[in-house]
Amino acid sequence: MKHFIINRVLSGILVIFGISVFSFLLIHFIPGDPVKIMLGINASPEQVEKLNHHLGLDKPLLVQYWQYITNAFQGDFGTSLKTGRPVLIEILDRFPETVKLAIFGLFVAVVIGVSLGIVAAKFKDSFIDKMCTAFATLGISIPSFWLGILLVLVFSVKLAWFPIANGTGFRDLILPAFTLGVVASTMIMRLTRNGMVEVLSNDYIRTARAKGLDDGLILFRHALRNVLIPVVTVIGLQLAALLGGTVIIEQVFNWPGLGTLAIGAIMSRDFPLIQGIVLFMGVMYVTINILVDVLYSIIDPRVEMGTKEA
Amino acid sequence: MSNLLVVNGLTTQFESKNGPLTVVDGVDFTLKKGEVLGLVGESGCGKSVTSLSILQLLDKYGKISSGEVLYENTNLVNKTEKEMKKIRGKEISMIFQDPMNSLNPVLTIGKQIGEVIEKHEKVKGAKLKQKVVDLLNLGGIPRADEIFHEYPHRLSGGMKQRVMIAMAIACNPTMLIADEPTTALDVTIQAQILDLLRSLKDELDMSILLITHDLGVVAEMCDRVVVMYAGQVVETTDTRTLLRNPRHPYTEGLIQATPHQSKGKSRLKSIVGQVPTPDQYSPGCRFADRCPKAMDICQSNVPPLFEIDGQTSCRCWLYEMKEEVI
Amino acid sequence: MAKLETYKPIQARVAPKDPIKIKSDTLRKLLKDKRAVVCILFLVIVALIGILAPLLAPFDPEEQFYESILQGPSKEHLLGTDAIGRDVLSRLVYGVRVTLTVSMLAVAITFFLGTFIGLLSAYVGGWLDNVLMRIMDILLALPSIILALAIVAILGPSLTNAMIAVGVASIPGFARLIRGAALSIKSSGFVEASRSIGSSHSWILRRQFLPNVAGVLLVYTTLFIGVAILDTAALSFIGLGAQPPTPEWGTMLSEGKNYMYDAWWLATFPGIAITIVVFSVNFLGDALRDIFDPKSTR
Repeated sequence: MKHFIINRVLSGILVIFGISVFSFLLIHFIPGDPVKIMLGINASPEQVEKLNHHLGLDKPLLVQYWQYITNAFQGDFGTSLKTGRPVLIEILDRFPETVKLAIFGLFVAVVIGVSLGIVAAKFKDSFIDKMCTAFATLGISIPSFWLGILLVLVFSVKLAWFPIANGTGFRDLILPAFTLGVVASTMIMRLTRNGMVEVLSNDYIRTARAKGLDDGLILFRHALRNVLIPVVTVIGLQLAALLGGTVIIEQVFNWPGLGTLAIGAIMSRDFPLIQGIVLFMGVMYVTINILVDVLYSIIDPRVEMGTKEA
Repeated sequence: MSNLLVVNGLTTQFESKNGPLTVVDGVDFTLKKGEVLGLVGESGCGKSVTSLSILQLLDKYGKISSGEVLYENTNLVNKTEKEMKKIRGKEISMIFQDPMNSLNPVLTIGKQIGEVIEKHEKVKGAKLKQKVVDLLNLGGIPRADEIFHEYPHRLSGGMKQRVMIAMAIACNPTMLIADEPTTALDVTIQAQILDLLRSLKDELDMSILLITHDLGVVAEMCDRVVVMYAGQVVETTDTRTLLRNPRHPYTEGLIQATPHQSKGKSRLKSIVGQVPTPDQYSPGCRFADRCPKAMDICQSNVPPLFEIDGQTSCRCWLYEMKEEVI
Repeated sequence: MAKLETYKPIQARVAPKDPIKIKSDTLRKLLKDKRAVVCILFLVIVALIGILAPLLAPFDPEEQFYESILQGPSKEHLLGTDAIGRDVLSRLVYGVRVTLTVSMLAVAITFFLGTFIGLLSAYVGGWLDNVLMRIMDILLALPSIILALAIVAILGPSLTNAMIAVGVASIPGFARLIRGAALSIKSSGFVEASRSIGSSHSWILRRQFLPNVAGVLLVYTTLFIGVAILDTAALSFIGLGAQPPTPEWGTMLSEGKNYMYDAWWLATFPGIAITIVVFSVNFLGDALRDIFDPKSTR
């Protein structure tokens, strides 16, 4: 168990290192002179040189990277060109809002996904099952931002149930969280359904039936737990994907999270901020994945033995 | 001995794309109190489906289409699912062929045995735990206290089967259905499990329906034997008679195909061909195509079960005359 | 269900399934699948609409009707007009061109580079496989939309750059899938067999490898087209893709969002168009998967 976690963390650190290289190199991938692009065409040579020096772009690449990574370790991700505030502060200001959205979205996704998945599996091959499958295909086909717009059109504009986007209170949270959740639920639903169908055909379910146990007990104690093992992995991955998905949804609902920050940064070519966000998102993503794996090994007693097949 | 279980004309069908397949076709047999009855046949002959039909554990594609299963003179086929739940695990228990997959991988042994007692006897807490530990001991499992908290993947196949047995006898069932209980195990372990079953049978006064394809196991364990072929009973008799004087050509073939210590030098004879699948059944005797003694009548007419003497009946045209004589 | 398994005809139980392979009967199977036929027909019609846009669209997509600004669906303008008086239907019809071209090109980028990296990795193996897959892992560690955003940030917002970003952002996932499929075939014996009789590398690659991964390629590519359409529309929606006045569906939605309180049709019809097209692409992808890999669950 300990071994497994250490391994997982080590490989995570390797990936984070890779991401740091990627985010560091971002500025160097820019075709042409990045500083001129950042400052615009009218910048004077002095301004260019000053920024060049400020960003350390006049030093050798390795020295630059060393500087970048040591600073990052001390929590210094540079300063935003636009606001002049430290990048980390900018990010940490917005991050809680994104997390709030992602977590509520995940909650909606799990509730919808797992319950529809169980229903579809229980009524396998029936009309209900087919409807659930169609729902899943629709869910991955519908643009999330359009779903958001539709929900606003129906529930805010027509029915006036929810405030029209602008705050960050609980009532403002419902529509964006629901939008995120519906899209993310389809994956969880498919997986729960297929997992459930497979688990229900297992010998140990027959054993449970032969013991005279009630259907509910068989479904929830014997089947669901086995189904949830792979589902938890996907839920974890979904949380990470939701952090990405919020980028678009935040734009629909004017949600003051990382997404709107990132888009603003790209629009104003604020590269230190862009680099910071990419690195930050990468670290979050990797951390969540590690946590998911650890959680996985707790739910599935076979993992610690290393006997679990992929 | 009185009859515990009487199966009459049991017919089970499975849905398929090309219409229903009759997998168990009019099976009759009787399990007497305190006896071990063997249900023998090659894989695919319907013996497992027969046993699942008795407890109505078929999946949703399978259905008992006719016949009755009289358990202590009440017909189980007419029982509702709710009533069956009270019988399963309490009156009639079942253990399965593959102990590796028959236990839930994510629940502890203690939990899995405990829940059957909890369900049928409403015992809880420390008393429940003690009962489970006693059962594990009874099942010959060492370190029962520790095993109680273990997950199945920590145990060997033989140990898992012992756990299955402990689970099956948890509520003192009157009848145990053992579906190929030793097939997946090593030979040495097989003998231990059979010993365990035999001693538990005497201790708890159970009757056992033992499903197997292994005539060695039959010789070891059974009082009487029902031989099945392609969904039908082809021969019913007591074990001695079956082994010494098999009547049905199929039974004869089975015995010749079984390795036997004393006849080490003679070659094993295999039965040519394969068990037909339900969609390939011929209008005549289902064994005719593989039968060395097949006659013209065998191709066109299904033989009935001919009563040979009080103990033995056989589904073969060879015995038509004899019945008439008697 | 396990029990019924034993009653299948013996051939079905014993004969191993052929590796996924484009066979001559693939087309026949495809035509027998009602879902697939409906989807293909629909997508062909959509493509025709794009090609024949100048003939089909009632107006020029950029023509402004000043007398009818923000008008709802009417006889004159079937799907209404937008904030500067352009005909929504005409813009939608021309939008087909943009959407299909951009998503096809994006998928082409994913397809060629992803297949190349995946096959190379699987076929050569060793340290190259290790290095390539580590890099893919690192890129996969970022949500693909973030990766696409980073690429757009480098290249600057434009439709072409959005297309490149979407195409490149899908490469890691695609390469991994292809590598997995290729590895399972590599280990399946017949590649080894042809190597043992001295076939050349390129012969094996062309005659054994590619035909055998072709089915998988087709399935994944189809599914990635859906992703590409959605992602480019998303980038355009947030203003990092197509720029006005290009009649792109995502851009149209973003314009529509600003007027959703007064003009519901602006934010409705482009969304319907994207959803239907992506839905049929995904449905086709599912049908193809069932044909090429019947074992996999939906």
